[in-house]
Amino acid sequence: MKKIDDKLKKSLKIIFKKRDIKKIHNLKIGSFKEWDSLSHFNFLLQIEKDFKIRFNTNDFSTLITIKDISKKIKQKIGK
Amino acid sequence: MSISINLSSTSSLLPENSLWEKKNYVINFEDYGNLFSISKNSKKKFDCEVKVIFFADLIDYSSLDLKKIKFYKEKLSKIIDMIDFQSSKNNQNIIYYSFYDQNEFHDKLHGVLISELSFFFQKNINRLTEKNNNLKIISLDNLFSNLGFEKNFDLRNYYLMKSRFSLAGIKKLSKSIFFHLSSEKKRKKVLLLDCDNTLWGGVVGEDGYNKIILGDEGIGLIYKNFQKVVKKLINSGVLIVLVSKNNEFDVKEVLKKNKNMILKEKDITAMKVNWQEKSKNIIELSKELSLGMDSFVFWDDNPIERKKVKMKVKGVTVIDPKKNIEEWPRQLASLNIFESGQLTKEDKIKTQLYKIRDDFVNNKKNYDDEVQYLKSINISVKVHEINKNNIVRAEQLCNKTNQFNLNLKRLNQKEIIKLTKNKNYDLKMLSLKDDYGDHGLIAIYGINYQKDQFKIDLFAMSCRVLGRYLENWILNKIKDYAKIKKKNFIHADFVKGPRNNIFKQFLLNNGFSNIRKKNETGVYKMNILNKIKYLEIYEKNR
Repeated sequence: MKKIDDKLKKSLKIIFKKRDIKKIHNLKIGSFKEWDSLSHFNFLLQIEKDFKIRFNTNDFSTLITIKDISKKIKQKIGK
Repeated sequence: MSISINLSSTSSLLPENSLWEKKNYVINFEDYGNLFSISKNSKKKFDCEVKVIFFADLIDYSSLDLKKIKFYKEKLSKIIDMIDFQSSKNNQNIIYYSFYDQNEFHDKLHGVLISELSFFFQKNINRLTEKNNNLKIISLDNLFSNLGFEKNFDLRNYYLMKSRFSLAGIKKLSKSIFFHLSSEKKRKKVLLLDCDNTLWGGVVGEDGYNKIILGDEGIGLIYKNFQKVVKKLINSGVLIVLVSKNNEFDVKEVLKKNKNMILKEKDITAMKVNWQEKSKNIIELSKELSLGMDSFVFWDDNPIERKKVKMKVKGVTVIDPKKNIEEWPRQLASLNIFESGQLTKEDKIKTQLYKIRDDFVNNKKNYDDEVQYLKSINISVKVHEINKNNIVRAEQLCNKTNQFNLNLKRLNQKEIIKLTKNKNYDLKMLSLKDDYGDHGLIAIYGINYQKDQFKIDLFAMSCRVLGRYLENWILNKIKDYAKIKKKNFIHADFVKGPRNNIFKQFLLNNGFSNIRKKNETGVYKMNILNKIKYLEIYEKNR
């Protein structure tokens, strides 16, 4: 789980250009002003790339918080 | 550099995605669907405008039928007119288009109708590129054909965000855009080719000119198709030099006698077919053709040769051919690093012109008295005003001359026209003929004269004709002009570039002295009483 979170932190940093993201589990769309629906979409695509997984169409509307995203990734990569 | 990107559909390119981050570029994504920037930003000027047009956004594919073809053709014509109008405003324009029907809800007739519209569009848009050399048209469908539509487009992204692309697709597109923007400045001129197992299969020295692998079947056909691509490059103005470890006689025999050869002797600008190191040959070649190393592209099947060239001659682009040779023709055709654009008369006979230069250099070496020799080759010079027939060449001389160039001022056609209308500016081009042939328009110069100063503002000459002291003749012409204008001094601001030191030498050799030094720039000044040397070569032209 820690590995997934560390990797997620990296994806977050790439998309939102934030240097000092520490705790990520409480974050969700809208947590900072750059995090709008378009950048959220870009963020999910970045995750797909970084974790080599693919979300389906429904996932895009349900995955709003980092917690959910992290859970989903775990499920997808079977850890 | 600033770029504006305009699209035919919403958020198709996912702005803010990290794929768009490139140093030195400021990208403005126009409001979505605002293909022709009719918006608040439209007054801003950009160095380059990119349009990405999905015809699926503009044509209702689901209800396309024969009756609607006329209507859509009119719509396409309007788009083409707008592109024509807008592209003349920008320095650079790149149009990407796709006729791909992502939803694929069509019947049999549908494919035919889309093909017809696509043909109509391509035919008319290509006409624009013939007159506007600042316009590039690229088919996304072709760009994506290697990886396939499935990988480059993503239907999920389309339904969720109206982004037609997958990340891979955007990556490919952004790469293509940045490639076209950056490569403009350093397009390659010469393709250096190995012979054995590159132009044909086998070793000519052992197999003989008739037994090499080259023909209409199997592996022979691959080599033949490779040559066809080379021939196409030649026709677009690329120079071909054979750099091969072989006996020259053997290679010439293949060129002359093998019926399957697509390349003939006349297609080859120079041959470095011998047993010395290829790097040494390339260095010699660079001197003979007066071209920098960064003009060369090296293709050789032998990895050791490639490695040696990479190590010993910096600047040459060394291509690593793909493992499977059936990929080679396609690989060469899609390299996309060679000079292109409008071909001038000079371009079309370039191979011949460089051959002339080769002969000139070789003959000059054998003569003891240089001036006598130059007198004997009947040089004649002509001065030309700049007009619409030769402006493309004027632009080329400004933009492509890197060595004999005063300040590397890169003027485009618009800026040149402006100068021709300026009353205090004298802009001329020169053409040159001699016993070696007609060299065409080979130099451009511009004089800016104000009350207090008479200044050479522009001076660029093709290196092909160096060694004839034509530059001295031009300087003398400028001097005569200064006398008419009653000026005692001629000024020139030299701007140092990577390869134009030769120009500084020219100034110093001709009585200019440095009066001020400022970083890379030096201000030079010459008294018009100064006598210019070597003018006797041009006595007849006075």
